[in-house]
Amino acid sequence: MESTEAVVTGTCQFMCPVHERMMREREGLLHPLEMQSCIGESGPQKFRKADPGTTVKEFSRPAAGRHDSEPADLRPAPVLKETTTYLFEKIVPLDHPAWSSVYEFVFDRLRSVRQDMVIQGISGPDAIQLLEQIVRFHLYAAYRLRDADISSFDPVINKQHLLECLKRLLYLYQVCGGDHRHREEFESIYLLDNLGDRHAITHCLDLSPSLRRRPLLRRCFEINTSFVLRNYQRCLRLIMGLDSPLCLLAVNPHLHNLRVNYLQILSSGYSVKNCRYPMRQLQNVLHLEGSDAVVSLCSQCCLLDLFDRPDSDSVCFSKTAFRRPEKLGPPSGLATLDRLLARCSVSSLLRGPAAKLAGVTTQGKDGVGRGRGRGRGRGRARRKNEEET
Amino acid sequence: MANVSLNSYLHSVDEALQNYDSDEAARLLSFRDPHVASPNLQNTRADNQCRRVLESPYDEMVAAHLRCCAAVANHDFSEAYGSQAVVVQSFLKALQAQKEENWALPMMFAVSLDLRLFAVSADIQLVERNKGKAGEMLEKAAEQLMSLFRVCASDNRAAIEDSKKWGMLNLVNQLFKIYFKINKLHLCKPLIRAIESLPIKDKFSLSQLVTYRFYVGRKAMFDSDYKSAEEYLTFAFQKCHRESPKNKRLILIYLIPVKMLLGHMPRLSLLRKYDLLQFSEVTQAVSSGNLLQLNAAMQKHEAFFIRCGIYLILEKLKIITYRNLFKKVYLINEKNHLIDISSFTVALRMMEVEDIDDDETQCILANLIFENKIKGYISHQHRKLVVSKQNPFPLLSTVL
Repeated sequence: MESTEAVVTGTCQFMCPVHERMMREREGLLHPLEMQSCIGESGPQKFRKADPGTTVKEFSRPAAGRHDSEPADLRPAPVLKETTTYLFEKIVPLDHPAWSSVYEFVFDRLRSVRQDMVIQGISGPDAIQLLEQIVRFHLYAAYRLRDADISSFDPVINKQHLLECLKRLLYLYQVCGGDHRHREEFESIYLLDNLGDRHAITHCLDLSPSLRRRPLLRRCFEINTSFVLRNYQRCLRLIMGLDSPLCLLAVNPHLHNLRVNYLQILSSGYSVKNCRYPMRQLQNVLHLEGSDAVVSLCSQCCLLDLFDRPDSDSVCFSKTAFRRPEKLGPPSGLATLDRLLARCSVSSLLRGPAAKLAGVTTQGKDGVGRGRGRGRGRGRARRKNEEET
Repeated sequence: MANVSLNSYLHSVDEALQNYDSDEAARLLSFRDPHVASPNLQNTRADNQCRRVLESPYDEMVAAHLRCCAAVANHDFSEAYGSQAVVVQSFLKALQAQKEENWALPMMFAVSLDLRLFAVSADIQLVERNKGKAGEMLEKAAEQLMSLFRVCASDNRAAIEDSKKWGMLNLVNQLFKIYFKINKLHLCKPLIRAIESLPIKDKFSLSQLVTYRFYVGRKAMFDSDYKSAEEYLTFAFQKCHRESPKNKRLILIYLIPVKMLLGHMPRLSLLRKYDLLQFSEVTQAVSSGNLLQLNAAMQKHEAFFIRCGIYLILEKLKIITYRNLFKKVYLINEKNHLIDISSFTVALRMMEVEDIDDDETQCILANLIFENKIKGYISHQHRKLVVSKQNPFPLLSTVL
């Protein structure tokens, strides 16, 4: 039941309630990112002491007999916002060799942010802003950790949480009325994240015509109908022309499946012996980067025999030879997306264009300013780091 | 009956129950009957009087029914829903106690119908007052109906003529209405399986069968299983009572798109008869391969198609429109079996398809070949479509 008045309002003014901080310090349950550090002789050293400026409330499951609604343990909306800002500004950009441990930490702490929100019944603009940020984080993490091992990153669980937040967010847009600055983008994300899904498309059709006719949302809707009609050529072209990094993050996991589908259609349309289709052309229509990617995809679909003709520059399509790969690999990277991501810092991407002091700076200025400040250097450093590994 | 006194009402209920006259009892519990308007019955504290006249659990049931009458008179539908839920719960108790008899089914139909209708009204009212999420009450109602359904479905011991299984289809239809409304079609699947495995599945009353097949047909349509959608919806349309033109029209709204996807275009006279001229331009556009007209018609009637939930299905007609347009290109080329890809692109450009190029044309052609709507292949080297010399554009109705 949606109630307008909050059940309880938190009074905790820290990112972590004092009580929990002491307890975790005592029991040795602090995360390394929460411990005090100082520069010792052999570089920075960690103490098993909690730093109030870096300790963040942990997620803990609601259980019988536990008092979840103690005001002193709950953070009100402004503190929750500070918490996400801290996580996105100081933690997410860390160049940890295994970024999945950073992910794990932030994922857990954001979950407790959501928990505090639910217990206090925070809805309205505060909830919208927080959920928007959390959705961005899950989208970004899925892309950054796309190659990570299942033991350190589970894309299914990440997607579950993403969808949960996204659905709640879209619901809040609906009930809160008024014009929401990022609504078009998040409605688009929902469409792309569920590419071809009937529910998502129906949801979009139920939006007000004025919202539906906005350019980004219209484009994403067309991407979906093209996908449903199997016009993959148009679908890919529209996707590659997207300039919202968040939308590209949302659609990227679908590209692999989309290309296999496209290849299936092509194998059927061009299915004739002695006719060959040039690899270069195929690479273009599939919007793949590098000839290796095309060759690998074709051989996965049994259209190429690597032992037979390893350096083939064309493929002979055959309806009967085509096989869907049993297991789709992890989603691959996307040059367009990498370019867009390099242009802004992670924290400004996650916090959103409006994050800097409420509404003082304009959207464009904000983005550029941040990008030039610390973001770019950091982005570059990260990319370099990735290249090395 | 509109001004009946509480006492005489209670005695009529008692008499009906004593005589196992379920139809009469159903009438006395239904909100379609004028007795609910009687101010004497809009009583929130009739528990004692009910207990004096009626046996348990019918006393609770009727007391809740009277509370519900009062709530409806106050236009408080969430209160009405709450009371009706108690009516259904008390009835459930009575139903469970009845072994090897099914005389009470008409009562069940009456109380469960009202339960659903109050849930609909309550949802509207709660959303208006900003107190609830759309569909919340309907979901609760579905749970209650499911508990009735379980009692009916598990009645295995009674002889078939006394079995409560005869109540299953009515409940399933109610549940379908809810699941379609709250957009949870996947929940229909177990219900369909339960009905299809019944030996008596074709022996229910015709009106119930029509409703059932209407919904199963719609579900098949959403699952892109057009052949069975056509079968179910055609049955519903043909057997639907001729005096229910509104229902026939409703069936047609789904049957027409399905038929069109299978290559059968509706006649104008039919569209006119059922006031469905919104489809006429779409039909014309599809059969003449006129994409431009199709887009215009879709845009013009967008609101109607969205409201009916068929926008996306109609969007799929584009594929057939491409096929018809391409067939024209083939005919203009004097049925030459080699056709330049670019001539199809020209045709699409004439239809103002945005940013169309040869690559996209080839993708569309490959799709049509994939779906067997065109017999032939594309030669990339020669940039031509090579079609079969025999029957290159097979009849759509033979393809699917």
